[in-house]
Amino acid sequence: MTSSGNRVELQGRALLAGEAAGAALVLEAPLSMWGGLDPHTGRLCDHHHPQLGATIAGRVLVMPSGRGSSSSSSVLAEAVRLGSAPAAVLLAEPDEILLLGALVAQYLYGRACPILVLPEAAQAIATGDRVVVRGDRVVVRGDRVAVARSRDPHDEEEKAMTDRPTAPADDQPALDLGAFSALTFDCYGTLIDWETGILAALRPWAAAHRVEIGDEELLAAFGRVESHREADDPTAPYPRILAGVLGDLATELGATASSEEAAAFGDSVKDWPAFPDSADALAYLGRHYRLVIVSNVDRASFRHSNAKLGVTFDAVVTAEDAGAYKPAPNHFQLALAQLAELGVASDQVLHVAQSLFHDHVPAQRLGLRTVWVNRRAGRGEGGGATPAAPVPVTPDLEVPTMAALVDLHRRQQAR
Amino acid sequence: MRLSDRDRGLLAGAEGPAAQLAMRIVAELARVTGADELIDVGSAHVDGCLFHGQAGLDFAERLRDGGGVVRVPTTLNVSSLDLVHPGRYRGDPDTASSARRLMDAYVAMGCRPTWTCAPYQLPERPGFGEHIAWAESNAIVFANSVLGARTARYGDFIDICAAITGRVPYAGLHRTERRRGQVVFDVRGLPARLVAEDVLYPLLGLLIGAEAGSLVPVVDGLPPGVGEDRLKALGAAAASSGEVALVHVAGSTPEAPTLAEALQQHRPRKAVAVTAAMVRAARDQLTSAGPGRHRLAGVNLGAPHLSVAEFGELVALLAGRSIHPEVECYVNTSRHVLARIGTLGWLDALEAAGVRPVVDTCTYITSILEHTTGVVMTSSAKWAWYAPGNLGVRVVFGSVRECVESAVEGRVVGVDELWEPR
Repeated sequence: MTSSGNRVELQGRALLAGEAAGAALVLEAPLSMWGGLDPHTGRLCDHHHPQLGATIAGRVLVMPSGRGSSSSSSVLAEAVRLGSAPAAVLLAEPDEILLLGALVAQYLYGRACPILVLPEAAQAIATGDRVVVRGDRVVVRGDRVAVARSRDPHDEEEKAMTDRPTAPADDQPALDLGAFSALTFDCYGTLIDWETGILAALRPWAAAHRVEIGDEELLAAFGRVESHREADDPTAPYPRILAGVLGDLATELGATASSEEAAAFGDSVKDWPAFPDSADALAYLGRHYRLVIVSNVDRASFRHSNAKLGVTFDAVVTAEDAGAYKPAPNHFQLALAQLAELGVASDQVLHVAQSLFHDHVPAQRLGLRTVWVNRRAGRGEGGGATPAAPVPVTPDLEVPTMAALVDLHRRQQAR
Repeated sequence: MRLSDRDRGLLAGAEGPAAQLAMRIVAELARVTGADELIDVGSAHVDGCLFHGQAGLDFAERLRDGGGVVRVPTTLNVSSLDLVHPGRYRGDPDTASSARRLMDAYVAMGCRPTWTCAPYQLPERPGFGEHIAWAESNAIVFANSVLGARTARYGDFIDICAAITGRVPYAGLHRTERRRGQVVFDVRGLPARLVAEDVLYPLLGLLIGAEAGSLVPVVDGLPPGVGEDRLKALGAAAASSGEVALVHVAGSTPEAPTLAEALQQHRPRKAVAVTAAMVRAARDQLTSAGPGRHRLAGVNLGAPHLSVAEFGELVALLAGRSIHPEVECYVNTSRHVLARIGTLGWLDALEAAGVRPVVDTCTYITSILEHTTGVVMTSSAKWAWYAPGNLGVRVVFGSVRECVESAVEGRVVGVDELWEPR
């Protein structure tokens, strides 16, 4: 092993040689691809695995070994076909079942998922490190944070890191907040506590229909069907999306929903509470930035939420305005156009959002810098009502709350 | 690596494109496993016939269209469809039609339509010391451990390649020294009343699988002559929670007349003293439903497929009673065993009592369950391990007796009796 600063070069043994690059995902326990990887979402779906819900697609997967079913070859091949496979797999010991899946996928589809044996990978690589695989050589670039971070697998921070690549450490953020003049915000999940609102609206329905399901499972099911509805019907107003979501949830959970129940759920947005820190944080930030909303909602529903947030936004872009739902790029294009009219160039815009899926992926595609308000940090695995990002994404800054973003701004101002 | 003339001919395409592709994959596997030669196998068991997506179908049809024909007797694992009871399938019709195409492709290549994960319950079984190429984790561990046949941990794709070429790398568990027991699980500390219960064996398997890693486990301290159904449950669970492909049970399995022989006269790398608390923890791990009262939606038995003897036990436990009308009770088995219990008169009795037999597939891998809300009970560690992820159901694990009593009563009953301190 050779090491130079944050760059480490390792020599492995290629079971299936190829070239790949991606952010590392270090698994804490062996994984059977069958029953463990959902090839349609690219996420880890083994309920016994400590990293349930983590995104595998596109990651360089570091794992001790395969486990369990001999059907894992098929699942890996199918994931390669669907584009949801890991970019490469680094194993502590050879695993023929994974090799066969990757080998057959290469024969059938001409796409490689390199598999290497590299016993020291779990020690040398941390989740989030950037890894390049070329033949039997592996180059690891760890950010300061990845190299310095505790390797204790029980470390909560480590767990919270599993669903994204890297973020600068909290004590010394790489991002100068003073360099921006406008903040664009996602609303639901970032400023409005939509999960609490959704659960408050769904629980009476679930109880009435004897649907027995935990909160996290219910939110995950919501996230899944909501994103499908939004993609399928981009011009439907949000209350209608929500009403349809309840019908889909009922089908998925083996229950029913009356049209009254569906309409009531569609109408519940106005009751969703704000996070306790949102109004104060916006009041403070409004003194330093132009504030813009880019939200997957309709104008009427947003008016109720705006009352809870207390500030007047410089611009509000809803799905009704955009004619689409995020992660479509429409909201951002519209917001940037409106900000340009106010004299704000896109490099002065910082997007602030909780959802990697809805916000960070499309915003970064348009070249925006992003702040991840990771409201779900410390709430265990899984993304709640937010689906996982389909591709690796690296926010420029991570904060757990809006209040933390304000604190950081204050500290930077004081320097 | 030494190749035979025929191997080289296959690689050169002498027996057509399917055999050529199959031989390339076998040779690639040999390279990776470090084998220096290939050996003949006497039979194959193919797992690739279970539909997991288009990739598996693309591969099977590529081989079939390339003239692929199996060279050794080849059985087929469970599929996604119960062809005997087609009305039980509740999944998407497109998936069903792809699953059917996949089944047809394997049969077209000469595989026997056995559709069972328990090929060791069919009349022709591999002999002691025979090299075979079996896929399906529970079948692998049974063949190696209980039959003393020799198969590596084969999976989808390589299974049919081995069947078409009749060849596998001489590596892994084909080699005597790789079959040496390495980690000893001493169960002498378990209470006798627990050792006497069927429910111990899947739980023991579960904790062994989690603990053994890639080492070959040996169970020591059980009374000799543990029966096949208990060994089946132990092995299937160990292969679910871990990568166990061979487990010796001293005094019961053929390569382990004694502990010393299981260890091939070596010292073990590790020894684990199994306690009742560890078994209890394994049991708790299998119950994914939280505490409190739950509606019992279903009971599922037979993963791996139920044997004739296990059906006999089920008939005795039901004792003329009926399944509660709000509980769907499925029993998974093979066509072969179904025919046997038909001639014994048990099938009619079970169906009259409300038991729904499922063949050719299994209720945790395809859409059969009517109700996935409420909780589902099972006595199978493998079912309990995989069903929450596959079907989104919550599971209560219990003994066969507890499952049957619950199915009759229509609520979860008796699951704690064995575990309360006396």
